[in-house]
Amino acid sequence: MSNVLYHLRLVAKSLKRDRWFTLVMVLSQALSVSIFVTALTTAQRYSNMTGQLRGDVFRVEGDRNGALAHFYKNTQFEGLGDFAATLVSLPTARALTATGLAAGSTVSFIAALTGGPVERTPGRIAVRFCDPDIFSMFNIGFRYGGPFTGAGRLAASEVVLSDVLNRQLYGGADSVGRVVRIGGRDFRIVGVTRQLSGKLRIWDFGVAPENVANAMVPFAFADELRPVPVISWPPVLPDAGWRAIAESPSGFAEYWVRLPTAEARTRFAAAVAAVDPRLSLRSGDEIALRFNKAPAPYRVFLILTLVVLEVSVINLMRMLLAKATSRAAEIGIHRALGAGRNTIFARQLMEGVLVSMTGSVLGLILAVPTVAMFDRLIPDTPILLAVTPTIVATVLLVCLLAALVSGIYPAWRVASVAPTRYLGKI
Amino acid sequence: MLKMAKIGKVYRTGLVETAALEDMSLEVARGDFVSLMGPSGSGKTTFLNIAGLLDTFDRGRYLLDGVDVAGLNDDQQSRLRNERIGFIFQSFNLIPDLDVYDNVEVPLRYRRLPPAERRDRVEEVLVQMGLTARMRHLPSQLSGGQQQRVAIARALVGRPQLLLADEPTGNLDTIASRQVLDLLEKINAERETTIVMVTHDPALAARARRKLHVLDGRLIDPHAAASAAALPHPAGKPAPS
Repeated sequence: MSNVLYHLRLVAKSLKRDRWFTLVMVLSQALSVSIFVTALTTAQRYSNMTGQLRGDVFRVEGDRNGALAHFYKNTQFEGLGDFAATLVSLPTARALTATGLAAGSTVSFIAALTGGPVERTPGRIAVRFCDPDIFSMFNIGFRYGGPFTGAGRLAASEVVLSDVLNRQLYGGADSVGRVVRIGGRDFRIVGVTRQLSGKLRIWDFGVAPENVANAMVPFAFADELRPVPVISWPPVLPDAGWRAIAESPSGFAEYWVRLPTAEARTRFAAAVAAVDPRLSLRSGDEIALRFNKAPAPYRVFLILTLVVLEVSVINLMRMLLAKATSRAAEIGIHRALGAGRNTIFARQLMEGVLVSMTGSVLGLILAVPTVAMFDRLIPDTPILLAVTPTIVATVLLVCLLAALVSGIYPAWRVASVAPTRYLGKI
Repeated sequence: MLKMAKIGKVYRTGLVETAALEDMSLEVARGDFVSLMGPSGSGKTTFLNIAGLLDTFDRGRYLLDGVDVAGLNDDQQSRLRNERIGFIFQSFNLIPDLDVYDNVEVPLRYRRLPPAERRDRVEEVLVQMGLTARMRHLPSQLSGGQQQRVAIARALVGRPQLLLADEPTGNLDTIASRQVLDLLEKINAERETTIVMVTHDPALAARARRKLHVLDGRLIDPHAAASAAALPHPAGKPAPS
């Protein structure tokens, strides 16, 4: 142990002596690592989606072989057909709820309305109309307050803000008890959801990213607020009127149910088939699996940052070699005084790993503001990105490997040169 | 202490081959004080590097204190170098980042001696060299003479049996040179440490017990050559690389 400390002391002295060079090496590593971490946080939003929901939650889905799916097949918009198939019409949802077979259910759709805090000029606000069962079905956690509870005629003028919207409207402060005006009606804020650390939520998949910042309003108020869903199939014209929309066979809502037992599932599936044989039941995990992989642009971004990291590793390798060569005489002296090749190799490797890992840790720290900046700069990423413990562990592991790769070659080169080449150059 | 038989060393640069040592045979007895003189490029430093296990040779045989160095791997050579050989260089070769104490301690660190023994040995040798007051000074804060005394202290702290000195006074003024020579003579007399010293200065060489000359990679000392040439040469043994 004392021997390791001694070598570490020598390494520290060597790095201190060339402090500016050391700083350049550490900073270049830190910058590439911080970019790499940013890419990882974006990709992480889509990883390990399964298990987010309780196992008994299902979605009733529309016709996967419908016209829209065929229309967009083999085009860059292929996903749109799949997406449209996740929507059902309100009469369908109403008919399935009326069976009373599900232990819980919720419709869920987003509409754009005028609204905002009562004390400010109203603006556009995305509103998710849903039933109170949504909170327990999706294990929604709360940063402040809790869910609204009343449904139907018992629904109170209460609203739950998403974490992102609360950040936009109230700077992230506890807004429970404050009032927002939506479509001319005042709603009291009863809760603010907690963002899952850096991850998308399954029930957000069908939402355009800019609408992830939303207010959750009881579906019972849809009749009064007359919302126009932002997404529907076939498209709903804005002047159609809520009653017409609600009665039409157009799909615009997601419809989720909770079916705790196998028997309930069988009976509900039969009811679904009776309402419309083209409908199907999909489990939460099955849906999550479709989104486990990040979209192509994020994957390309991740690959590019890996290339940057690789270039940085090669750069660090060259700088370590240059530094070691500039201190060659000292290495020659150590060899003359009894240091074997292995000792010199280990010390040089120690130096490389120390520089690289210092840069990596600094890169992780730098990544926090970089990720926040990325969140603000890229408008379609309102989901809070987060540097999670998993990312920290992944980055440290990758960087340790990178450190070994960048350190081994210079260490081997320096250790394998005959000491007589170095002596007398001091 | 040191026996070399028909040692040959060739430096190759591209297609050019330069013979640095040619059939050099030499025997140095324990406690001897040998000076080695010769013009620049005659092979003195190459000889010293090979004797100190810092460089390899192409042919011949070399026994250091009875150990055939050709059969040793790098680790074994490093250990042998650390335990039996001390180096004194013309340009002192102190480590600039380390203070006097730490510079002197380096060989003991590689020998992995316990801390208390390391401290005792370093302090003892610093007292002998009159460097106690400079213990925490960096090399850059010392005069040339003081730096060379530190280098000698570092060479002696491991209690080596063989001291190899390459122009030890080359960078010193007359007074400092004389002091260093006095010191080497004292070490040789009191500790019976074998000293091989390369020098250009005939006056310094004259103070050694044996004076040898090297010319074009060959040793000019009929007596030494005759006695070492009798060393048996291992048949078919590959030259160390």
